[in-house]
Parts: sequence; structure tokens; C-alpha cells
Amino acid sequence: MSWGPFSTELPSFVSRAISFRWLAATLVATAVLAAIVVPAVPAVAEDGSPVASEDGSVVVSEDGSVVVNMSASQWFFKPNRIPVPLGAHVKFVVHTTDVRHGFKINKFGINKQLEPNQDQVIEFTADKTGVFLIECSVFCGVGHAQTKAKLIVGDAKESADWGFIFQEYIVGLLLISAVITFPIWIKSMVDKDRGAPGS
Amino acid sequence: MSSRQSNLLESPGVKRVVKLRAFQFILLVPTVFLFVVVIVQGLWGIQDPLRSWGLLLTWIVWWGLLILSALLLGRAWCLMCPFGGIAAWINNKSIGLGRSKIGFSLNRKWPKRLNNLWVANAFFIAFFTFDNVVGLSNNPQYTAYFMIIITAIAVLIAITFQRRAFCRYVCPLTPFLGVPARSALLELRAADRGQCKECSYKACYAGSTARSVAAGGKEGYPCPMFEFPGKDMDSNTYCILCTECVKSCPYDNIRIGFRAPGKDIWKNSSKRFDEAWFAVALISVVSVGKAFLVGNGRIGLVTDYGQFWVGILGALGAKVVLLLTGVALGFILMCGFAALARLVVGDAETNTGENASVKQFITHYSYALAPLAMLLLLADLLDHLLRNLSTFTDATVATVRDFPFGFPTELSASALLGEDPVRMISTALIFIGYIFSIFMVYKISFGVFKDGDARIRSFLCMNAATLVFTAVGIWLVYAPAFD
Repeated sequence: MSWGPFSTELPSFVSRAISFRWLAATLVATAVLAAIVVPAVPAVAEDGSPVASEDGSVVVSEDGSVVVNMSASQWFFKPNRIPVPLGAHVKFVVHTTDVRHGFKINKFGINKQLEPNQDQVIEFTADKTGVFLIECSVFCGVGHAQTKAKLIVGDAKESADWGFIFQEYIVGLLLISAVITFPIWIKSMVDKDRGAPGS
Repeated sequence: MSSRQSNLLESPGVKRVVKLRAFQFILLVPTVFLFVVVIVQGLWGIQDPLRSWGLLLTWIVWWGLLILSALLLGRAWCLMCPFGGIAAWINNKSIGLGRSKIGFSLNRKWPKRLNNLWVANAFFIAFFTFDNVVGLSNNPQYTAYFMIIITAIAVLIAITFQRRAFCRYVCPLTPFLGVPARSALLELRAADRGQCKECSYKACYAGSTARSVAAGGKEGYPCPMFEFPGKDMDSNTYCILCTECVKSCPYDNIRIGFRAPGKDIWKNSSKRFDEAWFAVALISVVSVGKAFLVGNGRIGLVTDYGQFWVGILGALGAKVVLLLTGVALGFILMCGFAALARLVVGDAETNTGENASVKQFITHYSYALAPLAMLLLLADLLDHLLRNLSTFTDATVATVRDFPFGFPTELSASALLGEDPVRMISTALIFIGYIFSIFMVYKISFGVFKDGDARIRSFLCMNAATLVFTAVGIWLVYAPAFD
């Protein structure tokens, strides 16, 4: 290979990658994925009515306050969807048995450390309607990024999940390009390598 | 054609700085200072992981920079590493401001049977398992103990064996930085190997002598990593950029320069199974192995498999087994694709005129997975950094208020970016890693096989392996958080 940081030439794989076939395959992939994904975009409605859970982890008292008995483990919160009514006094009793975790809800200004085998009590008033992320704020291992839960206050609607849509797009692009583009790309490389006509 | 090789040492300023005896010492001063702060804060300071600045500095900032530096600059970290640096000070009986002739070591030869990466591989897996089972990156005290233990091992090996044997054969960062360092943009090599053949001093490998100094070289220690740039050193894996060879070469025949990324992966550089094994283990723990462990309680410990081990070994032991199962899963997957490639390629000859075995497929192609694994790790760290910026500011305030112990300040809660943009950035990073990896797989296929058909076939099979690891990695960014 003659290319390097000081070469003015584009590496051959780049110039090939931006060739017509690649572009066409990408456009086709985008169109196909858009046709699949766009109808699915409308927001998912979340039921914010207070429901006491069957396993006793969410308890709704008569005055409307909610007590949530939550466990944080490697690498999930349980329960991980907590619907509460707007204006309710919410009391989380969070327990962890393995390693240190965190408990953070940005919109309510809560950020606590969870020490193993100690109950951490977090109290606040759910005075904003919406779907709020409860996330682990202490780096707790390989699954740290997945240690999340959702607090659903009132009749909240989740907005379109653009992160998910983008991810689906990339995965689709990977698969389609793997199936269509690479064999063509490699075929042309090998033809060129053999000096075949028409390559 | 640009045949001219890049050489940063052609700049007189750079050359003067790199040739300074105190070059490494100057870089070591700040890292040793921070190392002491982290240990003091870990042992006697605040234990809250949200307020411990030393902890965040170590496991988020340093770890992130380590990954970036390996991908861009090779093993540049090792140049300023306090573990190896302190051990080298003791080994040389000098902090590096002058060259001492008599070191403080028994100077034993490293055992031949351990002349590979298996000890370091095992050390890394043990470190990874401990971090995920007991908790290291969220525990300031354990972090301090860990640093003290690593330094103690480094010193012990330094006073027993020759040169920096710890850095070459034992340090868990040797494979972690060394294998991905093959993708780096920077390399240190002999500028003209013909010159090295004729050189009678070999000061780069053996250290400067009165003769080499008289011939125009400066005082320099023997290569601490047992590398000889003049002949065998054909990859970045073991070069720690300590620049001793730059100093001691009487012909100024060492160059440090930029090159095409990933060149060590596809060029005819030596490939070894212990290095390849590490690349597979690394991609396993961040992709298929992780998918096996994470999953909102649907998989992992709560499954029948997990519970079976809980019954036998208890929760901690079961977690260890699950983590190791995750690593094994990735390896089984890689073996599967390599066996498929072997089957599909058939009897096609490699460039060296033999039939590639399944093990050779793994050895050749696994290197392409290392940069992808590093980007998956980086995506995880960046995710934490962008979602938890407030913990960094709080920890800094806590440390400044009571240096170096940390003060229990109020904790705030804010994020630099919302959930969606963070996930998009993570996905994009992994995608970049994938594109780079398949480019490497493609280059390796051309390097290994003569025949065009065999090249396509092996490329497609091994690319499928890369695709599976990537797809699982991307799936993990989103999928398993909620029921």
C-alpha cells in the first residue's frame, strides 16, 4: 500500500467504498429501513395510574403516597417500571446485595450512592409529568450502562425513541451491506488482482 | 507512490527533547504524583464512589485515555506508567536523570516457558473478574490496594529478573494495550535495517557502551522490553516508546513516525496465538459474554444455569463461573467461524505454501477484533461520562475542599446529553470500530492467501464473525435495560 498520513492519494478501499454501488446499496437500505421504522415511530403511551404491584414492591397507601421497595443488582433495577400519580409523595427504599451502585434521577435532582446490605431511603414529590430515567451513577461493571429503570409520573407519553431508531438503522445497514455490498466489493477487488478484463 | 517514511525525529526540536536523559522522568513526575494522590485518597480519604476523585480519575478518565492512546499512539502510556516507572527506578538504581551502570537486581533470566503472554492474559482476566464480582472500579480502597499490589509485583520482578520483565510478561496492560497497539497510527522502528545489519554496537538492544558513545550515540539503557528494532521488532505490541534506543543509537537510525492505521495487523508481522487469544477474550467480555451476563435479570444469575452454580459455589463463585462462561462463549463462536472458514476455503494454500488450520485462522484474524473491542469499551465509558458529568464536578469539588482526602459535598444530578444522543454516539463509535475491523479482515485475507477465491471465502466467513460481535455489541447499547 502506498497510502499513509502523508500521501495525497485516497486509499483504494475508500475510493471504492464511495463508488456508485456502495452509495446505491446505502440508499436502498435507508429506504427499506425507513419504510419499516417510520410507522413505528408514534410515541408509546405509558399508563401512569398508580398500581400496586403483585410482588409487593410498589405499595400505594390511601393518601396517595407510594412506597417502592427496589433492589439494585448487577446489572438491573427491580422493579424497573414504576408508575406513580402526579403530585404523589414517593418513597424509594433501595437495597443492594452485590457491589456499590448509584441511584440518580436528573429531573428530580437525586443522586445517591447505594452501599451493599444497607437500605437507602429516597423521598421526593413527583410534581412533574413525564417519563424519567432512573440510572446507576456509580460505574458498577460491564453491565453498568444497562442498569436503568423508568419512573412514569401521571399520564405521560414517551417521546419517539430516536436512539433506538438510529440503532436499528445502523444494524440494518450492517446486515444489508454485508449481504449485498461486500461480495460485490470483494469480487471487484479479486478481479482486479487477477487482472481480469472489465474490472 | 509515497515511499518516504514519516519520522518525527527529523524535527530538531522533537529530537532534542526525546534525546534528553530526563525525557521519561519529566513525563513520570505528574503520573507518580497522581498515583500517590489516588492511593492516599483510596486508603484514608472519602470512600463514596460518587465523591472520590481518585477513583473517577483512575477508572473513567485514565481508563478512557488508555484505550484512546492504545488505538492512536500504541503503548505511549507505558512511557509514563508509574508502576513500571517506579520498578525501573529501583531496577536501575536511578530515577533516570543519569544513567547508572550498576542496577539493583539479581538479573535472573525470565523463565523460557513463560516467554509469552499467558501470565499477563490470566492476570487481566483475574482483574476483570474481580472488578465485576467484588467491585474494584467503584471502591476507592480496593483501587488503592490494587495499585500497591501491582507496584509491589512490578518491583519484586524488577529486583529478581532482567530489565522490565514485569512490563513484558506479567502486566495485565501488556495485552490490553499491546494487542490493540497494532492498530495505532504511531510506530517506532529502525529507519534503515541495512544499517542495523552492519552495526557492531547493537546499543539499542544491549545498551550503550563506551564504544557506541564514542561513535556518536548517547548513554542509553538496554531495551527494557527485550526488543531489537534492527531485526525482529515488526509490531507495536511490545514497544513501550521509552526512547532508550533513540538515545543510544550512534547512527540516529531509529525513527518515530506516523503510518497507516492497523499496519501491524496485515503486514507480515509475527502473529501469535497468545496475543490472538487475548483479542478474542476482550471482544467476548464486551460483546457476547456481556450479553450473557446482562439482560435485566432475564439471563445471568437468575437462569437455571446461574442458579445451578449458585447452589454449588454460592453467589460470588457463580458470578465468576458466569463471567468465564461469557469469555468461553466468545471463543467458541470464534472457533465456529474459523472452522467454517477452514471448511469453505478447503485446501487453498496460504502465502507460505501450507494449508491453514483452524488455529491459524483464529491466530491471523483475531487481531482484527481488538480495535472493535476497544471501541466497544470506549462506548461504555463515554456513555457513563456523558450521563454522569455531575459526579465528576462533585468529586473534584470534594477533593479540592479537603485535598487529598475528599470532603462529603452535596451531590448534584445532571447529564451532559440525554439518553438518545448518548446511545447514538455509542452506536456510531461501535459502527466505526466495525468498519475498521472488516477492513482489517479484508487486508488479512489478502495477506494470508494467494488465491483470489480463498481470499473471498475466508473474508466472508471471518467478516461474519466480526458482524456477529458488532451486532451483539450494538444490541447491548439499547436492548436489555427494560422489561
